[in-house]
Amino acid sequence: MSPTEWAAVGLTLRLALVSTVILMLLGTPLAWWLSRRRGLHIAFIEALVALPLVLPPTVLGFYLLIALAPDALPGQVWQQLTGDQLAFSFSALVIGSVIYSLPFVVQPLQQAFRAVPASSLAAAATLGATPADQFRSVVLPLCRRSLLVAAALGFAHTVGEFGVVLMIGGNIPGETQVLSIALYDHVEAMDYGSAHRLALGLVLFSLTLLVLLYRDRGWRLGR
Amino acid sequence: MVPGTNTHPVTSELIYNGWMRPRSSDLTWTTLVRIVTAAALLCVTIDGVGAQQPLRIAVAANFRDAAGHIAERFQREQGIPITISSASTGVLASQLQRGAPFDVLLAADRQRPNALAEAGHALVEPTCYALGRLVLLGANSADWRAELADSERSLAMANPRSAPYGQAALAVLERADVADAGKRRVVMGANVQQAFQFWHSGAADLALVARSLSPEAGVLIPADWHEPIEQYALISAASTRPQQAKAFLDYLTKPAQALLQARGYEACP
Repeated sequence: MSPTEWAAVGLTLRLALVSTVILMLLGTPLAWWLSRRRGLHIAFIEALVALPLVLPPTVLGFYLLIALAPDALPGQVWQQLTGDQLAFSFSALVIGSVIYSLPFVVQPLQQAFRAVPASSLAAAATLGATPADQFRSVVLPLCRRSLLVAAALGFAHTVGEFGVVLMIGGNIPGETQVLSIALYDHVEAMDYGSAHRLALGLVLFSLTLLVLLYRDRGWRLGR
Repeated sequence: MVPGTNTHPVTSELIYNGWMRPRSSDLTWTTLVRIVTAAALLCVTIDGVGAQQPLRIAVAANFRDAAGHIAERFQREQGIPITISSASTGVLASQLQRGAPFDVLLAADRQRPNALAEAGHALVEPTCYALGRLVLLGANSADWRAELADSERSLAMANPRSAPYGQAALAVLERADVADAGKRRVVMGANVQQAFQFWHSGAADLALVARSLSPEAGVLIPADWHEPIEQYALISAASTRPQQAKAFLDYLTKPAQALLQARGYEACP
């Protein structure tokens, strides 16, 4: 593998890791909140979270491209705060990935949280556990497997992202050229040997991750 | 499982504190933290491979191969590392306009670099670095006009909206006086390289692409069939290493010219 390809591997892992951490920090409370409430406004927020599942990535890519540009407000605010430009940077990719992978994290968590019996929470409450205590000591341990599934799906989906990154990343080796883009670049340059290598690597990686995930008793996570 | 029915205070407390304690075979939170830390360290290590900040060059698709060779030589002779991003001229120009951190743009036309310069995105006046020529691939050189005019034969070209070579191809098609032109299956690549790939894979019978993609094969289209494809280079006003960018442009417009002409380009007018 060439240095550019290694850079793409490192960049992809870094992007997936950073995005997954942010996704879990954002997605867990959001999923908990969504799972405990009902109503039209909840349905609206759920639909908003699920939008990336059905919309073409070009829609999100297009809006992000406009929003992150140096002449747009979000882009300007970012520049004021950090001194760096947001468009076509690693941070832009993280923002895109977090939005794009959000349903993959929120939906499994929401299902798991809904399945937590209210009686367990009530029991914990009678033992003096505050809501935060209940969440930490009852909900999280019960949903450990789902948390792992959510994190793994968020990670895998970020590794597999293409359309949004292509639109807001700009295909810059070592900076925004993640594996899927590097593969596209190889295909365009008709370097099919390198394309095969990257494609096969991605297939094997994703397959391994999903097998580990679906193997029911394997890791003995939760129940 | 959760013995939620147990109400004896002492046992309940034991269970309350006990069930969350992981069994030894479980993947614990500590293990998860370890995995994440290890992955983070791995990322940092892999990342360290390309330590020196390179000169970033955005290259129109037709020039990608040539730019790769020139960059390699330039890198060897002057010790300045280069990364190349390739797309159609239109895509690259709009990315640069939206703040993409390119130091140099090697476009395939004159209009877009000049428009960028007028909008304040250029450090110096854009300069011509090559003159491109169009070839027809897949046709017999004797009666290529007839083949080009035959709407039964599918044709690959770059999208004229974003690619200058696509625009030139469109002009050629208009001039070729294709009978029943609406019937023809035209496949459009996002850039000229992709159009070439479509033809190369057999998906299209003919292709109107840059000569640089296939200097040995194809029929050279007469230069007066389309507007001259003057390829202009621009140094971005936002470049963080303008000296190196200028050095590269000097290299491109002087010592590298012989190499360009061997690859199917002509000298600028």
